[in-house]
Amino acid sequence: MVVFCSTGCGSTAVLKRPKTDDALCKNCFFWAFETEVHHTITSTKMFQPGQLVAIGASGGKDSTVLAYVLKHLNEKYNYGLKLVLLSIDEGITGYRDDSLESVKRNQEEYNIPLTVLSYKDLYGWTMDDIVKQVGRKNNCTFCGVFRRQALDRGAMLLKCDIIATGHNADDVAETILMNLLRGDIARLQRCTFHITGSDGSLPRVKPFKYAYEKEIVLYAYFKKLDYFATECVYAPDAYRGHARALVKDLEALRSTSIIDIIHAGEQLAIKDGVKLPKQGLCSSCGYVSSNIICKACVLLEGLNRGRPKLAIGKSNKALAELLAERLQNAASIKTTIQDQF
Amino acid sequence: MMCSINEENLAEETMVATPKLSVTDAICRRCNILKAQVLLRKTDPYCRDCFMKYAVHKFRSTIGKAHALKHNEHVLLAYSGGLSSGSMVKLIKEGLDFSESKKIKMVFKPTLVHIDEGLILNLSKHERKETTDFVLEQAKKNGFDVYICSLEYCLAPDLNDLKLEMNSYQIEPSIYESQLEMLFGSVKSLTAKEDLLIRLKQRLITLLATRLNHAKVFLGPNATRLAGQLLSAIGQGRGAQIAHEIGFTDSRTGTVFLRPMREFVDKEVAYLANFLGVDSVCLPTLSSKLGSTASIGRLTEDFVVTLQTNFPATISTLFRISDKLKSNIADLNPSDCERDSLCLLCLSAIEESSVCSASTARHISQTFSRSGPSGHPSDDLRTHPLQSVGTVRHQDSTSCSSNCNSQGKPCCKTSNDQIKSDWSAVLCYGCRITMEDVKQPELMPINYLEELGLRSRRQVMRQSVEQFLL
Repeated sequence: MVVFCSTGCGSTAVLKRPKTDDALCKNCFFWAFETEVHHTITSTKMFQPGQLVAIGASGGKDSTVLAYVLKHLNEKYNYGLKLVLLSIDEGITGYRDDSLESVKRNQEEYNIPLTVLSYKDLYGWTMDDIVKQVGRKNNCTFCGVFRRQALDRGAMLLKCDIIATGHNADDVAETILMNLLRGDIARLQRCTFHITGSDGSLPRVKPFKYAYEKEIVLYAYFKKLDYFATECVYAPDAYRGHARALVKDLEALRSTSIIDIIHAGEQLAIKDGVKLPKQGLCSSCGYVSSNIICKACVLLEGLNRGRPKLAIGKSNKALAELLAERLQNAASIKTTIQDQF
Repeated sequence: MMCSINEENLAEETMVATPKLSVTDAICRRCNILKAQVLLRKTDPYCRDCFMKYAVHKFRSTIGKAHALKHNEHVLLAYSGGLSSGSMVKLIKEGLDFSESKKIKMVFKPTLVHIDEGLILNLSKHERKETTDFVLEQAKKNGFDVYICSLEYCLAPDLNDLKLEMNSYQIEPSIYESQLEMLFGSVKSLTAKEDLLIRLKQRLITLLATRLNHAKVFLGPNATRLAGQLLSAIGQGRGAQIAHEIGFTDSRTGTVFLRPMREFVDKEVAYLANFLGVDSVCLPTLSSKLGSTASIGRLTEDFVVTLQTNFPATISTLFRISDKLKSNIADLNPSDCERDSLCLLCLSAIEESSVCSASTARHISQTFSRSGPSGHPSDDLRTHPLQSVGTVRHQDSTSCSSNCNSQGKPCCKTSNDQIKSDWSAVLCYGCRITMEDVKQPELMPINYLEELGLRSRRQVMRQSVEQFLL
């Protein structure tokens, strides 16, 4: 049975859009997907002409398609941007090695310069080493905190103005649910902002924030873009998996659920008088932090002392000791970390 | 997918499974004397008396701290026959009968109200009578008056024709019966059905409260149920209304709905019901006997219950965060607000959509998928916040639906399409999604259709004088 493209262009449909259930031909789908991303970019005033944009590139589907689409839109609509690829090597054997190959291919195919930074260089630890010390329950904490700083440090090193990541609608929906489940009102408010970041870190944007994960895959499939598609070996035990499962089930019930969740998230308003943690700067490394010492520094200190659970859990006493010591040694530590660059 | 966990303030009690407590010889943690008979939150043992003291205190302080009630006020208790509302009724009865301290004695005048939903649940007359007889009996046992009304009256413009008798109920045919059955029959998804039921039930209870001259209604849902409803609301785009849907007070319709059982999880309700001697009847719902993926409401409820067993802080965390949220209208009297800006169905404020938001993105995707590049030259990209969804939808049926029985009038199909397109302009995001699944919106209550027409005409008026409005 032949189904025609629902735009009325006359071509045969080759796919059903996960976002709206409409049947589309290849070209209309490409157009719709690209134009929607273009709309996200223009309506949020995401970029300014002349900016140097660091694309967080993992070699996975989101960043591969992001690199391709950003380059395409940049040329088609004259955004006037300069693009670079920035990749972080967490040191996870079997996972990161292969995806880094994929990023290098991106560099060649799309002709975008690439820089790779590793946790080993920045912090002295690979994720494999960390998991050996910490176990598999809280390792995502380390990776997430370290990676965020790594992207910022790398982008600042390259003198970029802004970081673009491949987070898609599914990620945003998941994050909203996860922040609800964790009771984190401050993050809940921030996670739907168009541009995140403040003093002490570079602004970050998500051009794919309204694009469905499945549509990104469909786009890559039909455009024949290649990427490395495996989930992190340490991921399945993470709490986020619960939120992800819920999002998937909701999407199966109603295809627009993902956007509906994001809309709900955008509409959440905090009552007057609710206290939110203020964001200052880490007195140890200067990165943005809600506490005197940022999480990365505390985690690192824990690892280096052989007490990896230091910042996991409310070990206030230990934290207080650490803070007191740190504040005394603040100057020397700051110099040490800066020396690593 | 890139891993992006950034956990500076790990609320680890939500994410770490609790250790199991050895409970064979546990002593009550409150009095430290008696042997424990119940176990709360997996680690807190209580004896029966201490548990009851704790529960009663919690119940009264939930009501008291909200300063919800005036002295001697008339209050309706929405009683479904289930454990939660049954416990609520019992707690109120005991609170009225005696109290240790005069200061916290409850002084108000409650009446029970019950909605007979049997029509849309496909229950036989006999089954419906069983449930309503049970309700009548329970009311008598507790010394309260009760009014029972059948669900189809939610479609009535008002209840002036309704034969509403105190303490008795007969299932009688009415003009709205078939309309209700057809309306629900025309709803495409179970999720939309459940949501529609919530809105229409709230409408009916409001009508009943007005007719009986009661300004306030107590509802029975407990914390477990509300936690599931919180996630369900998020899943259906109702972020702006969380405070109303989950909070203690919901005064959108003019009648004030209160939820005094909201601090009790289902386990605590089970203990309460046991100790208070509460009887209950087994109530089917729209999603009974269907799997957990039958509807969004069911899915989220099962999700919360499962997660709670391994992470016992789940429900309380969800509640704590929902208490920090406010609705997008201030708690004003609804008549103070510009009426046009309230959703027709749920009376929440209609969200304003900005050009860079999820609702606009959703609309754009639907538009682009149906018009293609030729319909929208990309340099001419203009966004139309919340144009009626109906105008870009393909018509799904070519022949008129069979209920075209409005005497002598022309075929209703043309007016159907018009009705579909007008609905989206008068609804909030969540209700708009629900109405998209209702294939015969002309079966909605007449008041809604009239209001719809009124607002459409006002919209035309407004457009023509837009330039003169300050």
